[in-house]
Amino acid sequence: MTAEPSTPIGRPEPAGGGGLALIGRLAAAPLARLAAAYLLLAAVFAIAADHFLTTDNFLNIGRATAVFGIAALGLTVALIAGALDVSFGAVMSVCGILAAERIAAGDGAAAAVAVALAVGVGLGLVNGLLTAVLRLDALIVTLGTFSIFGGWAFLHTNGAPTPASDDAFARIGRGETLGIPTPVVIMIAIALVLAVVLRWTGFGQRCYLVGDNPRAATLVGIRAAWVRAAALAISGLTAAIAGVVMVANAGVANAGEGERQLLNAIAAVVIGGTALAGGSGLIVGTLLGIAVLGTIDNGLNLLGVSSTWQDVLKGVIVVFALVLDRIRRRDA
Amino acid sequence: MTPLLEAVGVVKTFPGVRALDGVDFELRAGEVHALLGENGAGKSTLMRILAGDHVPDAGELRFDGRPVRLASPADAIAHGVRLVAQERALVPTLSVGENVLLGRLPRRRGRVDWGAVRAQAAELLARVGLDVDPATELGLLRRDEQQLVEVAKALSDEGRILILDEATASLSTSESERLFDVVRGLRAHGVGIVYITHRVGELASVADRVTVLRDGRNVLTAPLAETSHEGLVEQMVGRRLADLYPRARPEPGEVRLRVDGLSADGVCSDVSLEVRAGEIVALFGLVGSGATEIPYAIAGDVSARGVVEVRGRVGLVPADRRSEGLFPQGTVGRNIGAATLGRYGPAGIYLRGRETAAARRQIAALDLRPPRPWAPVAKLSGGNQQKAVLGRWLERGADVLLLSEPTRGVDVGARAEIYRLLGDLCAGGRSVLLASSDLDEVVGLADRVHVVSRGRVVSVLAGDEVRHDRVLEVATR
Repeated sequence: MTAEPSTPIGRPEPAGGGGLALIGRLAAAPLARLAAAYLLLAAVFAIAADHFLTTDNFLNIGRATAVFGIAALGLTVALIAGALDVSFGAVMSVCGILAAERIAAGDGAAAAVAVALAVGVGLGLVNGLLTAVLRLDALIVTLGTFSIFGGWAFLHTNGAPTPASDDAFARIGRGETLGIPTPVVIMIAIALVLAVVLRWTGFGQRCYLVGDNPRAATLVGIRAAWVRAAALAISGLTAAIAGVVMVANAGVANAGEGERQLLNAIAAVVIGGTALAGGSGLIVGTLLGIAVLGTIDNGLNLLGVSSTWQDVLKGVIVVFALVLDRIRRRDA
Repeated sequence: MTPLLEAVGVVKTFPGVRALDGVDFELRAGEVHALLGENGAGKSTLMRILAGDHVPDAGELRFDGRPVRLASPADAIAHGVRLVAQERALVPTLSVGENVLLGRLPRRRGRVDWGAVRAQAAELLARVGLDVDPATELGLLRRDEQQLVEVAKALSDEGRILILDEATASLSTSESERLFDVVRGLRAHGVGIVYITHRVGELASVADRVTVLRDGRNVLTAPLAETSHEGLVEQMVGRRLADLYPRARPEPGEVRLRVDGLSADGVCSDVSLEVRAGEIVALFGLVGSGATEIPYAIAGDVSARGVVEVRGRVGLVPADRRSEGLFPQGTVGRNIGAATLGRYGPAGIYLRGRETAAARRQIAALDLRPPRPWAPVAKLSGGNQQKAVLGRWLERGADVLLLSEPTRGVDVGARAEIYRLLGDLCAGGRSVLLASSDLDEVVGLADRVHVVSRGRVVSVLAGDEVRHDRVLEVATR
């Protein structure tokens, strides 16, 4: 050993290295800040509400968030690729209704789920194709299809509920797997898969490139429109899964039901730090966003705050998250 | 005679940068004083100080010999300073007259007096030699006409000092000539004009005296007649021109890129050229000639007719780094790896470690600073960002590099480095097609120059003919 400080070749330590610098860098990382904010929030509720800090309560939070959470995960992928998909709420309704109809027709849970997922991917691809062919912003296209898909759900059912009573199907929404509510298990599994897709596949990396700068991506030979279409198909798929879980849990499908998840899902993605303009974002962030929203609802419920006030508070948090996003972008 | 305006020992420091380090500057009535310098030399800072936008840390401003403190642009305007900034400050949907008199529309009994607007605007427009109806919507005017509206606006009251910042940046040669006529006319009326530019070539048409800034210092002030084009450029860049551009290159090899009769709507027509291994071939044209669009047509980015034959791979380095080249939210590694994602793992798998290793190779080869693959690319200097884009194609194994305006917005040090890099790449057997409107770099680098005008190659110059005067003469013919 020599007395000289040494650093691994090609990996110079940042100035002022050591534990303090690491904490400093963590504090500067948006996700670490979000996690810290979440812990603070949980601590406040733990002190203020008696039953907050129990296993059962956290499973409740999971159950309450799984439906919009699943949709938010696919939405994250689409948004990273620069496509803000607002049609997913209507896709949830449509796919939930189609699954319920298969159950009512006696086709069984597997067929019901298969139909719902296939249609979800198909509707996502419709969004993608319209975006690619018409060269329109995904937000505009999906605003249109949101209305079309959602309207179809009402026309098709005449606004009447479609019952879905099948034990196997109901277990998707109400059952437990390894002692954890099945919807939560599904959400975690999808989160793992999508996190791996984004981080470890060429497609995932292309999503970031296309979202960051579609023109530059095109010039390096990436088919930007098709990457976006695929990302929208993923968003359609998770919306379909969310629709199935929603209907399986309720035992009945209603038009307009999925649309009610819109605000929560978009809020989770935005709070999780995914850039509205595309090009950056992480599945972990969205999971944290889901947890923040679920915990706020749950904690305020325990404290007896009305749901109207909960919505107001969530809106404030979303605006705050967007302001942070803007500030971060301006610094960069 | 007392100068109209004097700046003595002006110092201005921004966090981390000494933008001006004791600069003296003097402007007399009835003279055009050119202010030359590279990006970052301090031209803009000095201009903003004269316009009251920045307050100097030290030093003094004198108007008519009297010390004055300019605390805001309003103070400068009160002393007769008028700035025509590089960014247009016009409203395209308003009329020409409204734009000229913006903020001081003549009123009568609380209402805008439209008759007076027309009359006053027409008079000012006549002063700058612009013959348009003041009621015309501004957006319908050509670029050069809009530039003259800017000048008319600056003169709409008692302006004695006119600062023109890169006024010809978006103008063609004939459009510039028209602006120069106006400048000469104003000079004859006793207006003092600070003419900021980095185009040495156009000074002969307008300037009486010239001051060169470099690294925040005044390195030369002299009557234009006592300077030479080359001397001024060398003062700007701070080194001999011969050292800026790489010279010795090997004999060219086989033909790598052959373009025959390439036509693309609105871009170019019937362009033919060849680039051999080890050659730098330039497409030169003034802004608007279409020269810098031709690489896009060759790369297949715009639909084109004609033959493009390539031996090897092509890489396009686009003109606008920010909007076309970079992934601004990404790291250096992501920017370098963007064109080769498929190589970083089997069957669609992406392993970041491999991308990082590839990025390290290119960072070392290009001497990119900082040498960290995970550094955010947005924090890099323009020159290093350009290296990241170049590295992307080198990583791809491009044999033919198509570059469009590769040094736009790149400071002089990095520029020399990019030139050296291009020289090295050619020495290593690659081929470079350089589309540029920068005469100096085209003459300094190219083995052959295809001069482009209105989308057509009007002449091909090689060998001894690749000189400033020859190229410019052909381009403006």
